[in-house]
Amino acid sequence: MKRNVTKKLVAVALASAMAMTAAGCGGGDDAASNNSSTPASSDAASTPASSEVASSDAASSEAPTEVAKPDTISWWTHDGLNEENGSEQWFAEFEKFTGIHLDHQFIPNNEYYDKLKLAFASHEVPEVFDLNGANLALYASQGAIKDLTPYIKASGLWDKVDPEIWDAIAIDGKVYAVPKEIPSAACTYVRGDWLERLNMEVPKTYDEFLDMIRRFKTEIPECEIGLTAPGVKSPQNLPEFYQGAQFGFYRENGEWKDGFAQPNMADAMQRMQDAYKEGLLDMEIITNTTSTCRDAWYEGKVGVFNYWSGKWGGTLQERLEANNEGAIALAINPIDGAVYSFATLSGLCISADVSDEKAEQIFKYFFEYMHDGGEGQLLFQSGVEGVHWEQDGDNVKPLPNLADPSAVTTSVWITPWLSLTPMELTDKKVAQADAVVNSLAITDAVAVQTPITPVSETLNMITSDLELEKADILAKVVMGEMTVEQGVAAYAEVADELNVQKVLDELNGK
Amino acid sequence: MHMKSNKEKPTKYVPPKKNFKQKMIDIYHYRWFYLMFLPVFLSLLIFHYFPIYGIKYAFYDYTPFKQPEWVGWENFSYLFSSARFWRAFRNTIELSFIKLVLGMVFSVGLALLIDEIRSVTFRKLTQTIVYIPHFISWVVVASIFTLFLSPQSGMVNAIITALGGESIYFLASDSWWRVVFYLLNLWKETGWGTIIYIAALAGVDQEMYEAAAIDGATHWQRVRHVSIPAISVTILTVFILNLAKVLNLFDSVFVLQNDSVIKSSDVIGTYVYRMGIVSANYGVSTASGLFKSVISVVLITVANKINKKIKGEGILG
Amino acid sequence: MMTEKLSFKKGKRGRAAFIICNTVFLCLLMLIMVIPLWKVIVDSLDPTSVGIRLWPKQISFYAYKTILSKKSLYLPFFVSVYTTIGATAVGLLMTTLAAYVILQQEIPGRKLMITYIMFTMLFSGGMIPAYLNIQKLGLMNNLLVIILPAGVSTYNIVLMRSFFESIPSTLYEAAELDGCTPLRTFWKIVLPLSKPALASVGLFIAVGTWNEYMPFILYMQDNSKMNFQVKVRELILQDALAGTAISASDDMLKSAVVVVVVFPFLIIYPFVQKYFTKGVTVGAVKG
Repeated sequence: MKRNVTKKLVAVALASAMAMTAAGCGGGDDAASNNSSTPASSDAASTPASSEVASSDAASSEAPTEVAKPDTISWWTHDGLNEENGSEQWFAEFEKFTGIHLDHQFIPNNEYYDKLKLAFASHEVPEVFDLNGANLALYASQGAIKDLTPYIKASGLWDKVDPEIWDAIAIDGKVYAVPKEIPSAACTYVRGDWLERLNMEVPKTYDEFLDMIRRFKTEIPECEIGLTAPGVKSPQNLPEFYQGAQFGFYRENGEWKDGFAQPNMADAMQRMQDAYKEGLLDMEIITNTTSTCRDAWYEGKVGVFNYWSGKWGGTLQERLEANNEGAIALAINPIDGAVYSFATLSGLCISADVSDEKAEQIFKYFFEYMHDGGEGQLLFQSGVEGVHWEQDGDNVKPLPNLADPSAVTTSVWITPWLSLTPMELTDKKVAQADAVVNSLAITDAVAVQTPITPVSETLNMITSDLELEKADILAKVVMGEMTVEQGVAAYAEVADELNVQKVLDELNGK
Repeated sequence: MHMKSNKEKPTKYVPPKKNFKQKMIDIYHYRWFYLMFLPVFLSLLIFHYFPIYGIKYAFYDYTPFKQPEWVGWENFSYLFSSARFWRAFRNTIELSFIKLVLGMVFSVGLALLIDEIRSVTFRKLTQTIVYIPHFISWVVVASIFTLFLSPQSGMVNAIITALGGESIYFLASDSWWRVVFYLLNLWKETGWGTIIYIAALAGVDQEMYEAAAIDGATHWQRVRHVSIPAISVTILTVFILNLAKVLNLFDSVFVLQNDSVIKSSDVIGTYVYRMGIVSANYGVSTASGLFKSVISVVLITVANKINKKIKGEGILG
Repeated sequence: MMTEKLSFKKGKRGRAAFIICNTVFLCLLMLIMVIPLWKVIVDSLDPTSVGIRLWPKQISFYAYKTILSKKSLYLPFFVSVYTTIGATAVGLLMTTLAAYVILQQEIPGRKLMITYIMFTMLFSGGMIPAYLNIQKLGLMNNLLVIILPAGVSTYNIVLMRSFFESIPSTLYEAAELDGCTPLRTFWKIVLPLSKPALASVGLFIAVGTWNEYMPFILYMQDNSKMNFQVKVRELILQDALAGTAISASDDMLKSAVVVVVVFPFLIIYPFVQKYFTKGVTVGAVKG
């Protein structure tokens, strides 16, 4: 969970001029790719960018009574802009545009959820804050956040956004959070230049995939690590090995199941164990962090690495190439059976302590403004003109990052090509590097949405212990200290002891 | 820094019985001292005693989102029936005690060796260098040593393989993890731990060494019969003070933990952390905190009793 | 101190062998202590550094330049310095006062005071009550929360009291006869004589405060009140540095941050060590 947020946190961008000669990448999927990545396909009339009053046209026409504008809104964040890269200018700009003062606090990412819970315990909660997957479900089940469904439906935002998104973030049919942006998905990157050197095709099956890593390891001297990943418990990071198996609870045909207990998980464990034993997986896979993996990739000693598409596709290419001339980070289509998935959705919530009246105001002047397809969205995507971007023809040209002039600010709170609603201003296009487009094309075409895990009383009680036991068993099996059969048996025992059946019964409403 | 040496072992002070008036006069006599105690009194009252009322939540069902609700001993029965809690408890005791004993033995040993150095410069240099690791926080220590012990690029394994051995995945192996844990604790704290013993050793009466030398004692005998007894009181005091902290193990374990060594590394601190954070179950987490405190009180009381027997007084007087 | 020369005369050979062994052993030990840190320094300078390499193949100050260019680290650094100095001063004052009071064998209520101090070592209300308490006191977002409670610990008071015991009591008595109030005696006699103890306990408190991060995250709301350690944690644990610099690896930057965070103590330590040594001498003379 933490990791997903962390990656998004990296609001540092890549230089825009960058080329990737990704040959076999994308295939026929290019055309289907960009429901989200081309920002400006606007046929709607463009709103004047400098309108003083923040009114989202679609919404205001539908609102029956006039909603008063709030004076201040309190908001906590743990990613996106901070003081270093111009948050103060941003809030000033927001206030200038809307007349609303944002009372904002930035919480270090690692401590964000601790502090939020403390705030709830002490009844000093911010009005607006974001929550991710499991936490969203927890807070919703405790009645700590407002059900936003009526506001979303009344505002017209419901119809403007891909229904799949609402479906994925809804809990029992109610939407408690509005995503800031469409989640990123991860895809597998391989060393395209090594494939060329070995005169190999992009692998299509698991056997071809393993064979590729094997040949990387044996025939490419620089290849010290075949495939790396931060840990083994994320199907998202190891799609070729999991092949659709799930580490946690998942829903299939309307029924919740314990992924770890399914037979396909045993197969996945076997695949990982074999590959680890053969030395195809990073020996340090258990203790790796995302940053150690990335560093190894940048150094040019890794053959295969599954990571975020889009912005990161660009960064992986750029930094790899900086250290290794001619190196190519090639995003590949999923091999047979592998499933690329989107990150769990997260979104902005409104505290249940807020009055209905204020909640309506916040929704209208903050949430709707953020996704208005015009001035507000531009502010949330690209930041302040003259501080974060400047006009360049029809394009928004990102300016050097205030904190680190060697990079540019491509996004402040919303990644432009991941925006929830299309940008309607025709002169505010955002140029993208090839490496970004190519990896996005793949994930946009094939990645699947992960629905949020709902909570049950028993699950809440056992979840920390259960996660721990699963992680322990999986690590032991992968490293070969336990056979798959032993692992399965050990888990059966744990599941029995912690009463996983009761969790399933509760989830399935039995 | 000078701890009391054996020679000046005080006889237990027994205050004479006094009547009320006499007491009032005494209190008046010491009025300035009460004033001097006031800052500490207030500081502890505000920052330690006020929050202690929170112990009551050990008996409440308490999550951030609802009003606390009295549940009696339920949190405790949940804890005591959890196999993982007891595993954490056992691990805590084992890791802490071994760490404590190793730490003390090595610190005392190192202090004795440093005490043997005659060159002032070399002595200063040694002291400076062995203290340095203490200044580094655990997060940083963990990040340094994760790189250092890496089976692929780490220096330690580079040496092992250069000597013809096979690379070891130290941090992901149940058996090696504990060894690494103890060694890192030794690396970080042994030097710092010597401070107090070096000071105590320096306070040892030179005449006693000379007397021993005249009696024909060898150097080793002098260390054995003069130095070590002289600092034994210090050793005991440090031991008891550390005993109070035995169950507080958290940072050092947390930063070194990973999925494959949970069995040998999960301690009460990390258990409580997961309970508090993942499940936001403040009731259970307070209950385990209270349990920890009670165990500490027992440990300390017993140790202090022993201390009193040996030394004639408790650690604070 | 005993004067002893390295001698290989008969009967002294064992001793000489011991001194040599001891010296060699301590040198090895120092190496062990230093190598990991040395490696960090090398890693922070050499972008290509790997594995066993202990000497930089090339030297680049890129990582340090990157850190120095991060203006956002300057303020946290000063917050750290400010809170560390404040906490050390306040902590030392309270610790010495309490230790001095407890030293008075005959003061009525002494046992009670000792228990009062000891109890805090064992029981605490936990994170939530502490948080609610600070909130009720209106001390949220106030650096006093860090400074006021930092130095007062049973451990420090015990150390301080032990030291005071080594000051000849005749000195106090003389002062008292001269008509000094206890406060004056404390200020004029006890404190000046306690420099070595002040230096050591002060260093304990300073190191503790410098490495503190949780209270900052819990109780401070403004980003401008976060300390250096909080930022360092962000840099190490999260990927905040990722992508910032093309030519420096994340490891290199992390190493440089580690060097920067330890650096102040390497600077301060030699000055304090003077008192450490003196503390030792005071004890020796007195013994």
